[in-house]
Amino acid sequence: MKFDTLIIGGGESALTAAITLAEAGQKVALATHGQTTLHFTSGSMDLLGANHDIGENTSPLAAAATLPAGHPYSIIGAGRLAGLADEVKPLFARAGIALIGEASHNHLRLTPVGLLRPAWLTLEGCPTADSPEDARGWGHVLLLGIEGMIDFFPEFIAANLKNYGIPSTIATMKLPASIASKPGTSEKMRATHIARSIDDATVDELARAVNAEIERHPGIDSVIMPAVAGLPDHSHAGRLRRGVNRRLMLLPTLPVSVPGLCVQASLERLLRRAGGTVLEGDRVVSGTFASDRLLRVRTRRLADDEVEADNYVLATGSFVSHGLESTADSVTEPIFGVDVNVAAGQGAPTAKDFFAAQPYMSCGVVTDGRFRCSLNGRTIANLRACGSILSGADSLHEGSGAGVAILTALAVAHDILDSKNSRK
Amino acid sequence: MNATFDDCLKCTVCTAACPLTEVSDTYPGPKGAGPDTERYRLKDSSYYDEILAKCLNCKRCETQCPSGLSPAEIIQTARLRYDHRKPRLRDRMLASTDMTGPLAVRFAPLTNTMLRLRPVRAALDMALGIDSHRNMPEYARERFTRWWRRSGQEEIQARFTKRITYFHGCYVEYNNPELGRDLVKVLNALGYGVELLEGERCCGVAKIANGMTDSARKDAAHNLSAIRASVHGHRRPVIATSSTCVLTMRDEYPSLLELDNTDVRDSIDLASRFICRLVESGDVRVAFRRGFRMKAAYHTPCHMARLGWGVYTASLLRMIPGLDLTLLEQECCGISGTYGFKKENYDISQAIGAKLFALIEKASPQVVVTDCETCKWQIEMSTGRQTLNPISVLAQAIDAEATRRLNTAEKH
Repeated sequence: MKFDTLIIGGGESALTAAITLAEAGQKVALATHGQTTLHFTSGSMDLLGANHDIGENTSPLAAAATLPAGHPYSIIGAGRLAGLADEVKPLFARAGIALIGEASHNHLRLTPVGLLRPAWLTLEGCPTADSPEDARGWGHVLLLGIEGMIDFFPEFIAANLKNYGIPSTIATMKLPASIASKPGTSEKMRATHIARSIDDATVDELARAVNAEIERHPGIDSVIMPAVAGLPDHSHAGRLRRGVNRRLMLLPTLPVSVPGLCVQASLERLLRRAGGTVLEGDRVVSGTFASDRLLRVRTRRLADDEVEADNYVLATGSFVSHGLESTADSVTEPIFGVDVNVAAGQGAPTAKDFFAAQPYMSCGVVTDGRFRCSLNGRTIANLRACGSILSGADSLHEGSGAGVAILTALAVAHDILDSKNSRK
Repeated sequence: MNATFDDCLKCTVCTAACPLTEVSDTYPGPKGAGPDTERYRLKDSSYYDEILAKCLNCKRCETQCPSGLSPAEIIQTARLRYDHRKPRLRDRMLASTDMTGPLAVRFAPLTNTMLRLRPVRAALDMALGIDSHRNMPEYARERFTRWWRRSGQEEIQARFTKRITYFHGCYVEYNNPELGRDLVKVLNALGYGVELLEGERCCGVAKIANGMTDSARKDAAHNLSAIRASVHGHRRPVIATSSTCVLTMRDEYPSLLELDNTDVRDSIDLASRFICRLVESGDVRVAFRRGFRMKAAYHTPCHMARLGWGVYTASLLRMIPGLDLTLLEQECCGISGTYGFKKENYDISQAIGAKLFALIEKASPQVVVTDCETCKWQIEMSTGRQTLNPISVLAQAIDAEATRRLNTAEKH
């Protein structure tokens, strides 16, 4: 099989690169060996958020300009970051997902347990505010759980909101019979099960049931309930919010979260619409190289039918996605064995303080100024890497996971398109 | 490479993807039924729970797992190992396609009429537990292999220097010999002759699903030795038109029946993949009929998704000018072989399929295309739309005579 570009990976970074290339007219395939960490996302994306401390890095773009040379943002170049960041909202909008937020300053999002944390972009309809003072504008909040649902923790949220000076009342509602009577929603419900049981008709009934709860609690200014609407696309979430008589905010739950699934499914749909091919459940296992080029790759399912492409993008993620593998004394990239920056992890790979910056997090593949990988020191001209597999970023400590994933993917896609145009 | 239950991260992606968990109040989901409880079962087999028999083995959990586990395989292996209930008469009947098929074909007009009659269906429902709402598959008036002999195919096919071996499966043999004839027509036009697998038996999928493991293993061992004779003896790959037969012979022979097939696995192929690769490599050329027009929607069967080969059928269909094609989003149709025929599973089966049926209605095609025969039965019954194997669509779309000329001219 032959493509212009083969993207290896299936998460936020891989999908962003694939969509950008497919929309530019390339014949693109994406090979993904299972679902991705998008399933675990919170509905927000960070560019440079410093998760651990509110208020730090309120201007992520300005802070990105001060990062060390090996950081993916430094490789992109501070001058180009803002332009790439501007592409993200329109791209998600084409996928049917409305985002709020700006790269010039972080806003605050509410986590599943009720903490305010900085974010770059958030799905419209999730609880967000510009500052804790701004969040007090929510007024008296009704924390509305759903009977039988196991992934919502109103007591935690209430305690945390109280610390910010936000009063709240906890209540639990029953799902309307039309949703609850659907099989699979009876006990130990997860947000995804409820979301899948909601359709155009029942979403309105759910809105009415929420309104009935509001009636029961006079003095309520806004409602926070678990994000149980938003599949298969973002439209049911909007319809639910419009149907409720107070400000309704949908709080992403613990994984698997509805906003995460929604983003994944929406981006995949956009890719397919743009003519992209998804090799679902397949895994690239090896490649054949000649001098400085990757000629073709072998996948587990296509077996002897090797995949050929002009360009390849390695977006297989970090340790949790097996894009990187580690032993007690080494870190490797398991598909091609491209060069990995173990130096960043030299000495102790972990810091004793669990919450401190962890050296191993900055391990990743080494690239040149155009994110091209190298094999035994030799740059591979048509193999680029993007996303969390790259070295030089500690996404947890910096709060840079989504930004690195998306912005490096855009940089790589543009580089592929530019080099093709200049060759013509 | 093969991950064990210890590699499970407990991320719950599989449970979110499981079509059964979505509609069942009691099924614990692939994570719960598979990796979570496997460690207990290893300790004490009394931890085995009959609810595991509800797994459709659609394998969507395996396509979705980020950690490379095969939850469905863990569940199915546990079922084969710990479920000692004897298969009911109904299950044995549904699974023994090689026993019921010949009888049904012999009396096909009568069988088909009978199986459409309400009282007969009510009786099957009452006596056996085959749901009366379910349309029973139609039987052909003539078996595929009988047509093969009657029309002197052995001699005709021997004239081709390049040949493949066709694993027609029970469905082509007893229900849809037309599909087998379509494959012969297409391959002959492309310059390939067709041979049959020596003494072919059922691939075994239905027997595996219904607890008749020993019988399935015997059939599989027989098929494997015939496949070896074809692959190693005659240098002919074995091609099937059913995605499930292919998956069973490639993947479930080793994993569930513990029969090693490494030496022939890569030579067991699906017709649409085989043909797609021939065309894309430029080895053969296809001439299509000028006036061919069809509005179609392609449904990727779950087992096709697990094979990772949906891309081949989609590419093959996209080659056909005049085919207005919608690729349906991936949803399970709910039938899962013999599963949906059972009275106790009928409602679940239809509830699972509802999303797919809605997508089909929205696409509003003349014809639904799919690689699996039981998906076809389910879609035809539930949407009333004609459903065809991609090879049959191809057979309608090509100009066989012009294609034949293209591929014989090239030799000179």
